[in-house]
Amino acid sequence: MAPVAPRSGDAIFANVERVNAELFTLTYGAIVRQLLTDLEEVEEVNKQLDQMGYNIGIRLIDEFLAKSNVSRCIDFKETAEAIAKLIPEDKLVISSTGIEVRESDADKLFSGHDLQIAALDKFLACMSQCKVGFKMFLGVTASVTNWDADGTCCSIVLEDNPLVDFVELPDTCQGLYYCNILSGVVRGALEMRVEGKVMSPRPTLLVKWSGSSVPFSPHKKGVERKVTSPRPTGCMRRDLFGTLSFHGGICNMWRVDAAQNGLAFTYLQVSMKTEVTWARDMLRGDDAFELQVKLLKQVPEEYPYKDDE
Amino acid sequence: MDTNDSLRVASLWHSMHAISQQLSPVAGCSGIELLEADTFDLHCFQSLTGTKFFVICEPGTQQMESLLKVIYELYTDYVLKNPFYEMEMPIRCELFDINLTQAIQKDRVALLGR
Repeated sequence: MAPVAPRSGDAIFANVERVNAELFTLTYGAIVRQLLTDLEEVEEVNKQLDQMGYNIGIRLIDEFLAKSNVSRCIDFKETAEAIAKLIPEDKLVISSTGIEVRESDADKLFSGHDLQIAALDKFLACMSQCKVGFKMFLGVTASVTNWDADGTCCSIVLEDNPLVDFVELPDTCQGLYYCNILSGVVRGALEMRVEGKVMSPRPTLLVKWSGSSVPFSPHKKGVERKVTSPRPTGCMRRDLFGTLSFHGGICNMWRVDAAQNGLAFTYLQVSMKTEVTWARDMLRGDDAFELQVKLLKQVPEEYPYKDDE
Repeated sequence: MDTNDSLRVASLWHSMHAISQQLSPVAGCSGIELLEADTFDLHCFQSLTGTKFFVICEPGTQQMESLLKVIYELYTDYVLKNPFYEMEMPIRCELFDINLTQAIQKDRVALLGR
């Protein structure tokens, strides 16, 4: 069966049954009010909202995956870009067929810690799907920005928020995160074991271009060049985000050639433990809603059998 | 098949599926998709969250993958959205059972014209 293309958030949102937005806002408001009456402490209410959101998130992730046809190999390109970010340019050997890490350095680059980092491509891929999810379930346009240097922390900025229509926080509830249920949902959704590619460290990493017409030559001094014919032209640069890109050449899809280069990818169920907090909250006077998502750790699923050591 | 038998089959399949990922000579294997035996075929679909759905059918039955996808969507609707369903427990949701039977009937009619 041919793989089905992933659907956009708009397309899915248009097809699901919908409920009156005011009913939704009023119901959520009633929940928050009742929690405040029952629990009285604002911190407790925040925690409870987060827990409720978490319970929703762990169930919602399957529906999201079923409806949006997200494929397993989310993007080799993203994987390659993530890997490229980790490797300092002076360790790269560039040839007309691709980019190679010099063997003696590869071992140092891919230690156990880096193995963890190399699996960040999954986090990257999941966060870019967040946009689709927010559109699909809330009809809200979200954007994922502010990636930090490690690739473990980012922000989701929501343009509007149906939960807070008509809401103003009184003085007695100043510490309340009214939309904390959303942070719980994101946390729960990411925690569900989502299949990720985890890289086993091996001596050589070779990233190949899928097309042969990718001529380039690096301008940076100190980068060793292994040039074979045809002679490359154009130039390669690392931009602000650490992505290797080409200028003046044709850049086709990145392809990581696993089998040939001893770089093994294994599919593992990876559970991502994250911490989701509100960076900006319009009810507190900021100009937008911004959730900060920080990846704490990735926990691979244990196998149902024990390896005999 | 009673509950104990289905639990036994499910746990056996879960282990076999996991072991097959390790055994595979090709890198990047994500588990068994099809098991062909003399008297039956077993099609398995694994969601990205690790939940596995498998269907046992007559040898040579077509279109089981799309049936599995439909079942996945029924699961996300009738099981996960049921607030009284506890995660990871055996599924005892009537609506799910009814809709599952309907989906299989529809599939059977489409396939066999019966």
